[in-house]
Amino acid sequence: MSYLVLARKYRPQTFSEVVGQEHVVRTLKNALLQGRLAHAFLFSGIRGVGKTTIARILAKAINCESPSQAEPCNSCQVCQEITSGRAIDVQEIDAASNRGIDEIRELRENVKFPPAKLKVKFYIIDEAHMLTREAFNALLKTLEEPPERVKFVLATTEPHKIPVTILSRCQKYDFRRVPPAILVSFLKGVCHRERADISEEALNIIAREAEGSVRDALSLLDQAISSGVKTAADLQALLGISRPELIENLAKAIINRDLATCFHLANQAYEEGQDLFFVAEDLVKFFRNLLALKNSGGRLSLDLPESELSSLRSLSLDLETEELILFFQTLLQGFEALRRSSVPKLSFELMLAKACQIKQVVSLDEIFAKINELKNLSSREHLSQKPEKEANKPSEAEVPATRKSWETFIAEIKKEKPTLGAILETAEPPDFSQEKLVLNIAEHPLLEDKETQANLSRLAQKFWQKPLELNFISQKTSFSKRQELVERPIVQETLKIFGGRVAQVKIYEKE
Amino acid sequence: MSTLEEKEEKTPPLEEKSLSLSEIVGQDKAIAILEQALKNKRIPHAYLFLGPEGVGRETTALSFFRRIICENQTGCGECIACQKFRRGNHPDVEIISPRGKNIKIEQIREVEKKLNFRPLEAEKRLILFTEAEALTREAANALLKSLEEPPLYNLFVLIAQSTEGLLPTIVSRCQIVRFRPVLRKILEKILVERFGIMPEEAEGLAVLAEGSLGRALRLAEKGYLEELSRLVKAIVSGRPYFIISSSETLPKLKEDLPLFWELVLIWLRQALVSELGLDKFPSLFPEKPPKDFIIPAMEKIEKAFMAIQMNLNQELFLLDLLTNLSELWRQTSQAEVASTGTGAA
Repeated sequence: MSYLVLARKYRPQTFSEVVGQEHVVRTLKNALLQGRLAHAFLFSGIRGVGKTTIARILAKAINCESPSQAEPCNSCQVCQEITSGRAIDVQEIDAASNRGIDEIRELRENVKFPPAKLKVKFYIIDEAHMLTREAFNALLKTLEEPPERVKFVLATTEPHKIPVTILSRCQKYDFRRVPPAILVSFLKGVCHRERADISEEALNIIAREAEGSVRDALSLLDQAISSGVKTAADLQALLGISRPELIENLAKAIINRDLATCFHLANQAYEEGQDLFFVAEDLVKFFRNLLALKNSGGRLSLDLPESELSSLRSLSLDLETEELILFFQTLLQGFEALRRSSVPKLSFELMLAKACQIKQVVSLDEIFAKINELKNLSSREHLSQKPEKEANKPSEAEVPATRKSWETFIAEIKKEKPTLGAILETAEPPDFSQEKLVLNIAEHPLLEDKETQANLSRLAQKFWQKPLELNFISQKTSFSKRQELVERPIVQETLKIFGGRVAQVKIYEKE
Repeated sequence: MSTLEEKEEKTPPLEEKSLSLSEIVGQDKAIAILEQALKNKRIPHAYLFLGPEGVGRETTALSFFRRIICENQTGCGECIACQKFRRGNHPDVEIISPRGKNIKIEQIREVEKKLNFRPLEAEKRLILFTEAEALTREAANALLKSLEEPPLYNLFVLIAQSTEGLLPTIVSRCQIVRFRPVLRKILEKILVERFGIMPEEAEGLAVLAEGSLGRALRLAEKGYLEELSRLVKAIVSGRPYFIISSSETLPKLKEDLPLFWELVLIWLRQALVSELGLDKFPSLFPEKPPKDFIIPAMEKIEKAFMAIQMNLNQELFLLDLLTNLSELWRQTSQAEVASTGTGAA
């Protein structure tokens, strides 16, 4: 009756059986071979990637009576004792249950004594992140200079919770997520040994759902085998994973603002027992992919099957980027609310309803194009016989086209010479209806430079096909005018009341 | 006999709660998974039962265990093991439910002490966590090691609504079995047949239950619908007297306040659904809100859940919420009248 789950049955017993984590295994093996093994290690990584497993293998590899190439033999008495958890010199401590300073004190007492039987006394402190602050601090001295023949391994899923003083005393190994391809080939092997016939497609789904954790993958596989899953569809039904079609249909319904269909689909998914949380997540991802596809111009490679990609592509054609961003944003907000919600179904429906309320969006480019069209139309009707080819920049209707281009002209100058641009900004734009452009401007040393003048003129030629001439207004006149303005009683009064000073005087010409 | 899991009020005697597996309604898939595991002798040491509240997760766990310990391997209800189980004094059943708000680390330590001893009578020991989400962070972490490699005569069953509220390290050690909401038709039938509720009322309750028999019964038991119509009246009239009295009485619902807000959300949702022509608006409900009122109101009401979690002063919060809602109602209903008016003209 007692059945051992696959995750326990296939727990690796040698370094070579470990799936993924080559970087850790290689380093540890070399350290063993060269006799350069540190006395304290910290193993960190997500759940089910082999932290505890490697710690146990390491314990065996050190103590094994006849190791070959740093691998434990698994047949000597020592290895067997450690495997079955009977060895008194290999202590596996559940730090989450024994997290206080008292437990650490006890450990310190015991550390002093040499190993009873084995070569090295080995402490595995699992779930180390749950030790209290005091417990960690009590451990510091021991961890820094433990007696000879004592080794520590701390294993944790949350390394950020470990104090830096502990970190600096340990050799740190980061365990990685196992890539799906490796997981799949591993799962295939397990299936073979378990005599289970499961399609590769289904194994792919398991690998994806496991998110790089071997234990997750084995738990899922176990479940799949025990409920007789053969194909991908069986598995999806078993796990309550949202099917790609459902997500696509939901997305289409949202894009068509068809709330009735949205609700119908949501209800269907709910009654099938799917976790709406994952449906919502997939939906957000779907729009994220659409957005990515729309804006990458095909350069982006999405990790999706070709059938899904092609439908994504065709959907992305009809949608504006702005619209997609709005959908994405609304759904993401809804998803956040859903995470916290105690009524997932209602929150999910609200999320759909809000997305369906988004009004059809017209892209800005299109609006600009429309405006330009209108402008051309009106200018042809009213004023000029020759339409301004040069004003290819879009402009708002209220601002005269020339004023706008004057601004772009200055902006152009500013790019190269900010000061010059700033000086030009103080002047009124020249009269564009004249053959020659005359700019009335106050004297300034920068402007007197012949080269600058030539440059300006050239640029003006480029902009309006007309030369630009500078007409210097005597500094004196403008200066005296400013002086006069400053001396006005109202200005003086203002200065007195606010206790300020005049920083700049700008003269605006009245129309 | 009922498939109902009554939450925490009093632990009802097990007699009420365990059925034979075949008697559980509306969870064919979950039951099939468990039956398969039994048949193949591939019962893992830890299960995680996921699904909405009140759909029979706990009942299933107990019934499943009864099936395991039964001397006739059927969950007959007649043999000594079954009888002890039904009377609630089987020594190999550990039910761990929140003490106060949470399941605390001490509770885990107590269980861990027992794990290494063989079960007293049965082949296995059941360790049932009725609300795994209530595990504190410390408790959940303390459970990890035992949950990974317990002696094989232990069977853990954790019950939760979603994996969202659990540590990923916990989830990864369990086999997940999903429970789905009970279909409305089935709910209606059970309500009428087993609980003797009038068919019309059962129909309305089934809508409100959102697939959970437990909820349907709780709603039937307490007069929430009256409370709802009082709230709607306050919103519609916009009269300060009603608003103030509503915001004073509602906080008295205390731990049932979230359930009440769910009811309000369902009222709005059903209005929206009937607006879309998907379903009819149940006659049990008060007045149907104007169309444009629905979605903004739902958004506002969602905040009420947070207000409860954050422990805000409910009276003040409600005063603000209700005032806002009644203003929204006034605007939207006026707009509706105006638009239909011009439409007619």
